[in-house]
Amino acid sequence: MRSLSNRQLLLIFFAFAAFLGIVLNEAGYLEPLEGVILRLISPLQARLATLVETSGGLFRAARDLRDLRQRNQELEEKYAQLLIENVALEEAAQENATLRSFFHFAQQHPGFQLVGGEVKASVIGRDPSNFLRYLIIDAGEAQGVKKDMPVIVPRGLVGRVQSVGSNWAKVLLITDPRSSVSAVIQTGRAAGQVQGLVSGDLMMKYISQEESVSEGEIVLTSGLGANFPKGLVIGQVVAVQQRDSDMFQQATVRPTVDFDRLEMVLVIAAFEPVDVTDEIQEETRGAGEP
Amino acid sequence: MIGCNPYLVVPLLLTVALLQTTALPALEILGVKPELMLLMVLAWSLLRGVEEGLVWAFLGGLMLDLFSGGPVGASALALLVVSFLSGLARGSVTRGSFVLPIGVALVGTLLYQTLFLVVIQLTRGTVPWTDNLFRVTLPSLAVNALLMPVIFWVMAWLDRKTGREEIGW
Repeated sequence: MRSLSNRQLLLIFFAFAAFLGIVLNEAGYLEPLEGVILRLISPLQARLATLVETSGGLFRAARDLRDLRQRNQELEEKYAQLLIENVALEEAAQENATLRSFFHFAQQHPGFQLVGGEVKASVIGRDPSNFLRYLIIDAGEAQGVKKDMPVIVPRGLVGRVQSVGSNWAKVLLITDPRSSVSAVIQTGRAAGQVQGLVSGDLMMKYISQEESVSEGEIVLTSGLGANFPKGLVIGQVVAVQQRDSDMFQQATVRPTVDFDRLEMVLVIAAFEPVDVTDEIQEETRGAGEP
Repeated sequence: MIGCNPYLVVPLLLTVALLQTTALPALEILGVKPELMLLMVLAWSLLRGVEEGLVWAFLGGLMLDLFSGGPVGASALALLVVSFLSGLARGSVTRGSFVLPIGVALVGTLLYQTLFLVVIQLTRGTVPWTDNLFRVTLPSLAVNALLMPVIFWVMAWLDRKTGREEIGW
């Protein structure tokens, strides 16, 4: 028989001690010893409990802080999201108002066929030069825009298409000095030619001296020359220059359109401008022949 | 020949042209838009000389013409001339002094705008010279002279950062 190893002896010893402890405890012999030990340990236990409680509080506080931070971050994200949505809604409301005015305009002028994303084209750029007044819009041949088509907003005439690309067009504003529009005063029906000025205003020239023109009168397109449809608002007379020595009188016209704030425009697609260049050349040649 | 990296120059000039057609019209001073491209080309020509200036003038001018209702080449042509003259003054530039850049801005603006209007007159007709002089050119001279030190300072920084590179085409 092999002798028992130390480990086996130790196991037997502790098992026996435990068994003895149980027996003595059940018999009530261990209570005094238990009381002494607990009395010695309890202060330490209390301190340990406080320490655990405190550290537990710290851990809870750290966890709470982490939760708060997370919550704060979530709220900030939510706020940013709502802010963006709010801006988008305001933009949508603005766009809606513009589109509604465009729609009313379209209803009031059923003869015009409006193009550019169905009814509108956005202004995507302006001429970089200080001498030229052009707009670049995001509607072109693909949307049915062609050269010389009139461009308007519900407030009035903007200009006409000067050149077209596949999805863009350059619009010559009526305030450009190279622009000329046949016009008529709404009340007196005095006819003239509205030209752009470097200042950004308009000048209605070649008004007959016999006509009476006064400040505040509305200037409309006359349709003469077939470059623009008849009856579009151009602006309002703010000053009249009339001298008896001149052959014509002229009037300074303030445009109804705020060209600096244009964001969307309408292109009148159904209107076909008439090119009279050939006829004029033919007439000139005819006049020159004997 | 192009100066700094061409992969940087083209986007840089395109960005400037885009700024000039989108953002700068809203920042009018004395009723005129700041001519950022003109000032940049003038400053670069002063710093790097005729060759590099001409490349910038040509590319920048074409990009401006791309967004303009004027004839293609009008800005490029006008910029080429003023850039050439500005480049000739390269040797006289003193670091830290803005007297020459301001002078170049004044002469450059006057010449650039005159050349541009001549091209417009020849191609489109009807240029109200007197009105343009008082309402555009004179305010532009003031605005460009005011902005030139800032632009020149930025371009001098870019000049130091990029150094000279000889890139053949």
